[in-house]
Amino acid sequence: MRTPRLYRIALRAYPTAYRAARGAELAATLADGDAERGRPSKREALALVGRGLAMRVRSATAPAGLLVAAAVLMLLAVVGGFDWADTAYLSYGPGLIVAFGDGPSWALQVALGVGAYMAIVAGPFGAAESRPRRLAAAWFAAPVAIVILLTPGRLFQHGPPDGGAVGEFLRWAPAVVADWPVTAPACAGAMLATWLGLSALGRLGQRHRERLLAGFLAVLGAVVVARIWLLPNLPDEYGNRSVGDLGTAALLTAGAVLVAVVTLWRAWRIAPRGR
Amino acid sequence: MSQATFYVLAALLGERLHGYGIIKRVATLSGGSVKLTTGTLYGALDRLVGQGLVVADGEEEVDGRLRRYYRISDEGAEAVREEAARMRRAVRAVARGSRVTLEGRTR
Repeated sequence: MRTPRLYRIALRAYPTAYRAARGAELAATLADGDAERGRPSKREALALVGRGLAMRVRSATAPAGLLVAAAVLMLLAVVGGFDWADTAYLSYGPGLIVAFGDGPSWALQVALGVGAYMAIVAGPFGAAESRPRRLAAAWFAAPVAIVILLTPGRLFQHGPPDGGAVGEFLRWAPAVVADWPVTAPACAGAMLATWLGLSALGRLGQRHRERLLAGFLAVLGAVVVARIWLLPNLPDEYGNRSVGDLGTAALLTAGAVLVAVVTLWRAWRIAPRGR
Repeated sequence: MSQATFYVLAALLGERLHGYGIIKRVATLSGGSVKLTTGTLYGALDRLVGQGLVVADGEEEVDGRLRRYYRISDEGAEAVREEAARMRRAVRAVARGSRVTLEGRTR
């Protein structure tokens, strides 16, 4: 069977990977139609070009655009943790600005975190080919978003250049920023490293075909994240718990487990039956 | 649910079909008003398979052509029946509306 030139050119509009996977099937369906019509159809060729180009545009822009959206939202979430009214009260020497997100802005921070999470889910993670896998992937993005939000605060909590006692005021990290030129790149680096590490974990989870295994990995992810969060949560010499508190950690863990259970339940429910 | 999606699901309700089989069945079901192109069909199929509403169900080679068959899943059958019920309700609402208007005019 030889595909007519008209279709061969039109099929080039599709991304190479898609053409490699589905090209033969599309060509066969086109050939079936031609057999009945007696000739290749320009309408078919035009539709192929339209669909193919749309697919290219989507695959090229969607993850990149959403990644940018995620990055912007994360940045806003970090900045949103500031309560500038309190900076004077908590000022430790020149160049050191201390702020905390335990004020009215925490709601904004959480909202932005949720936004960042959704952008991550819809972007690179949303590219998984089946719904159960997308759900599993979505779950993996949750700890990614949480850790991204918390990492900078955690990082500087334990080594602010000046004034080690600031941690006692913290509930919602990130909250401490000292010397913008130093800390901003460090924050960005920490965010990027965390994101890369956890997205690698997410992709690992996606590859597993068994939905249950994906769900199990999701639960494991929840526990790991909860442990990471709890790890530095030891009382300092004054008896203050520096990063968050046990209540926050418990809340986060409970939320993560709830999402994991819902994910599992939904993945199970929508799994094709009768195989 | 788009018209193409609805008809693809409806076409698969009775039997498993390959690509061109779906196009022909959709044309029959719609009385010739919906003529799917191959590009549109596979766009819809990719989405439906991704959503778990349609499942790829074996393939064969006929005269050197690769034919992949598709069947509807339980969820897909449920989705298309729900959509049909919604359409029925919409039709009834319009019919009722027209009756009221007509009666209003005759009075």
